[in-house]
Amino acid sequence: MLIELSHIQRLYRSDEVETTALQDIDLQIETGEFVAIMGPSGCGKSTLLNILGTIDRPTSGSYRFGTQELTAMNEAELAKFRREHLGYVFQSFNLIDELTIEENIELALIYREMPKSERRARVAHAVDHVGIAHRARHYPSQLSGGQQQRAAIARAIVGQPSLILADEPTGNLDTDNGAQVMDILQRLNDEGATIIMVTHSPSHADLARRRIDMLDGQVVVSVRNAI
Amino acid sequence: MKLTPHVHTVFAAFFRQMRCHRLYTAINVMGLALGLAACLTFGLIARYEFTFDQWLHGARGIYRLDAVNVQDGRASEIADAPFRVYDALKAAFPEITHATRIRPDNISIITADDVRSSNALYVDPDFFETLPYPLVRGDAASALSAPNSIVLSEERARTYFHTINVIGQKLTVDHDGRKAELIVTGVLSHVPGNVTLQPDMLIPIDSAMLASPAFLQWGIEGGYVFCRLHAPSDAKRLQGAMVRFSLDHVPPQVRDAGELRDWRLRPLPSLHFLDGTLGISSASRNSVIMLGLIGLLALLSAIINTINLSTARGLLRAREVAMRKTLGATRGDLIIQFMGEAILLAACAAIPALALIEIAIPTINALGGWDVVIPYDLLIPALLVLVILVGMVAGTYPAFWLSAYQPARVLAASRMATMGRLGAVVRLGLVVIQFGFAIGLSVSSVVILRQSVFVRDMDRGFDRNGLLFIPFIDNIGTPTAQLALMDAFRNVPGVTTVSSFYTMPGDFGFSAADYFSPLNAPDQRPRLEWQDVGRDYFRLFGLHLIAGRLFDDAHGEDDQQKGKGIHSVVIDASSARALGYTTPQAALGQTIRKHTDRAPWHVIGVVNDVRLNSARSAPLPSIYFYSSMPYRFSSAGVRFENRPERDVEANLRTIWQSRAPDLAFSALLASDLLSHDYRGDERRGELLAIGAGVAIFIALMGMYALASFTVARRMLEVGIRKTLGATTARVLGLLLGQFLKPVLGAGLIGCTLAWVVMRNWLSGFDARIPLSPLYFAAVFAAALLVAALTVLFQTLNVARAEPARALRAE
Ligand SMILES: Nc1ncnc2c1ncn2[C@@H]1O[C@H](COP(=O)(O)OP(=O)(O)OP(=O)(O)O)[C@@H](O)[C@H]1O
Ligand SMILES: [Mg+2]
Repeated sequence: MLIELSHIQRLYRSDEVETTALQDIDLQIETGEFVAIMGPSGCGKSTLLNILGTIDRPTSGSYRFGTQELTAMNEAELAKFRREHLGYVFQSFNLIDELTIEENIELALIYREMPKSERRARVAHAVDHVGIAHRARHYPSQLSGGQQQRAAIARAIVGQPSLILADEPTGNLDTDNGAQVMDILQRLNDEGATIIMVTHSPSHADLARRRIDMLDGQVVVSVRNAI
Repeated sequence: MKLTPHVHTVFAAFFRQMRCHRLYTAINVMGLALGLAACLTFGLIARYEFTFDQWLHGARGIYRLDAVNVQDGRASEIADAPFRVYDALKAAFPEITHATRIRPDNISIITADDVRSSNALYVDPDFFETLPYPLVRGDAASALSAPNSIVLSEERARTYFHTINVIGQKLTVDHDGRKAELIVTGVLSHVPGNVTLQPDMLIPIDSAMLASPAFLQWGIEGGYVFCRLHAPSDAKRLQGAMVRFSLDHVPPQVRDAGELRDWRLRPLPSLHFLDGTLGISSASRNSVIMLGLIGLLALLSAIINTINLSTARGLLRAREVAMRKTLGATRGDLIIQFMGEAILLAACAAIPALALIEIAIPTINALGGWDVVIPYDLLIPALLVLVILVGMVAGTYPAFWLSAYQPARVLAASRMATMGRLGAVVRLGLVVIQFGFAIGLSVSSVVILRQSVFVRDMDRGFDRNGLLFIPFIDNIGTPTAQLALMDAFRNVPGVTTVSSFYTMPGDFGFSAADYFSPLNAPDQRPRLEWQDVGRDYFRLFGLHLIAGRLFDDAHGEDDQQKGKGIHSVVIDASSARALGYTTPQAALGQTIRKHTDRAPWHVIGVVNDVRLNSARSAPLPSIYFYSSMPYRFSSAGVRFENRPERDVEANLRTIWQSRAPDLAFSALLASDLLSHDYRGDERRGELLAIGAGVAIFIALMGMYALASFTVARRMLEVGIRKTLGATTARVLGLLLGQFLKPVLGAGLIGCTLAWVVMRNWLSGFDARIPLSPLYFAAVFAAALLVAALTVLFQTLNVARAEPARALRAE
């Protein structure tokens, strides 16, 4: 078992109102799985992904990753966890405007204290992998949306993480670009990476091995796709 | 031009900003107010210093005649002239329409219940024609024509008579060695503080004075000679004729001694700074220019804040700007908008600036010894001009920069607009200038203050505490009377030693120097400071003997006034070296003589070196001559202990008054005399420190505001980096680094400049502190620290944010 969430709850408190983004989530994910999360807007998909990515903390509950209990970790340990195990693809790309595509991707390695030459080689490999090598020296604003999303994926995979989290990676893309991105994710999964992806597209969800449906902060069904 | 809609938009946008961005507006207004106030305050001081004497009617046609002596092949100008030149000058040059001699002196004013000392100027009847000081009472044409008249300043009239209606009143004075009854014939109006001559009293030179040597001999400087020329163009011709004049009139033996070889005609408005270079006053053109520059740079620093903040704000508004442009606003519209906002901002700063100036001027006056009066008729227009200017400068850059932004690029960018590489470089450069200036000023003020403390505390070779001087006891009468006075002083409780002497510390009093040679080594001829001393002098100053013995009445030959044989001298260690003796012991028993005449002396003792003169010049090797009887121009020194100085002084005064009821008593503390040596620099350092404080404050305010924008702009980036595994510490380091890098660069630039300037300044001192790298390192570290503290809160806040929250920030 790679991931084991039990009784995860996430509340947002603002002045008077209390929003329950997640309530009592129990979820297990095996190593090498490709999971698609679906559900209506506001049901808590991004919140769940954030918690899985440790960039947000659950209000209560336990999150075990392998043998580690992540909710007990401090800031620095979580940062270390993220840089060693995690790749994150955002819906809105989230590339840094002042850095070139290459530099953006390299950022995922910089915090690993890796020699410059190795970083170079890995970045070159990653941009090649997603098919934007010819755009590596451009700035994000000079790329199309599909290219930016592929750059964001390259950044997520360059560190060869064991877990890739993707929040609507195809949401902002047209059909062709979306298909390309799904293709990349599938290839990564074939190579052994565990992938958890939020999507609104049932056809993309069908490409995953398992589909989780959410509603109002709860998991309602978890079905295994026939492949 | 359709101006009205613009003006309306500008105002509307400005007030919206003021409301919505209180911090931004407050910092901008505060920074600009400080900058404007610093600029105008230092500007007023510079104006005050640069307009010395110019208020006097026809100041440009008034000249002072300075004598030029040649010593060791070097020409040196002195502000005084022998009064003998007066008649010859007027006869030789008909271009001189009026001229006056001015002899400053101290006189005693005798009133019913007190005797007070006052400065007085003895002048010729032509004084008011030459230097037209205005009178509030009396008639300038006749005020000085009668021999027994006196003209008082308003302030003195009020002191003695409690009114300024004093024409015809009598004033009893003791002056020029005699008692006299003078009749008040005029009252001077109050004059501004920036005058070279600030007369308290004017007394016409009378026939008794005219018969004294100071008025008759070429070799004696009597005081100042001022003249008024027909036209300023005459000055050049006159100056050209001066060497000839010297040859024609100055006796050869005076010229041969190197004196009065030439003359200089110095225009009155130039005297202030000239006297600084001649060493008469502490005026310094450079330090005034420096103050002016500090003011300008403070304003520049505030302008930089406005530029940086409005650009940063503009970036946050880039989408709005882009939208406006898409909606059809022209570039001109946007430029007017930004400039208009900047001018309004500066206008808002003008009022607190005015208040700050009102507070600053009295403070600075007290600190710098100025008498600056705020000229509102000048200040208000200057402020208005500055507001417009500052607004235009501060508005231009962001206006052009932002209006040049291409809407498509802004709108297409995934998030907030950035300024691109060039913009970042410019902004960085501006911050570097701000901090470089602040750091440079701080280091300089630290160095100057350290040096003034060093001069204050330096070992001068004598004990300055508990030492009082009573100048010119010869006024009291015969040498026997002077000795009796000193004997009476000895009986004052607390007094341990009393002696007469002639040279006071701190370049006050008389000094003379001459060339001396050992009899057996005539080639050694050092210039030694001539010190005539009375009994117990060494004990009075607390000097210690290095070799031989001190003067002793048991040895008759020690006293210069006794016997015809070879007399004794004591020299100090550096004199012994200068005379060529390898050790102090070697000097003992040697015979030396004055370079110009034959009379020999025996060296009986060697004492430690003493520095009576300024730390700026090399210490003077001294030679001591003992006379048991005081003579002309002698002063008394009194050492006391275990008693408050006030009590001792009061007792001395009582003794003085019982012996000389008509003479004002004055006593000077050695430590006060010495304070002249560092007070000026102390003040300069304090002014600089104020400037540095303002500069630092403005720079930090700018950095704080900039940080809040930058940090907001980098929120998303922080979220991304943390998602990618960056720790809080690393993100904090990254953000702090961004703010501290320019400070680092600024430190290098500021320290380098300060080092060059301070090395140059210190080189003007003979006794000085080493220019230690520690000062620079300390200021540098402090600057980094305060800068880091300034941005720490905001940075920490962002760096610690939960990544999910940071990513959501936009
Ligand atoms: N920082 C926050 N403060 C308050 N409420 C929040 C916050 N973040 C999310 N929520 C709320 O939590 C709920 C879940 O939000 P979440 O972003 O996870 O939805 P989602 O399923 O990803 O929706 P979408 O498909 O639109 O992206 C929503 O009701 C949202 O309003
Ligand atoms: Mg979402």
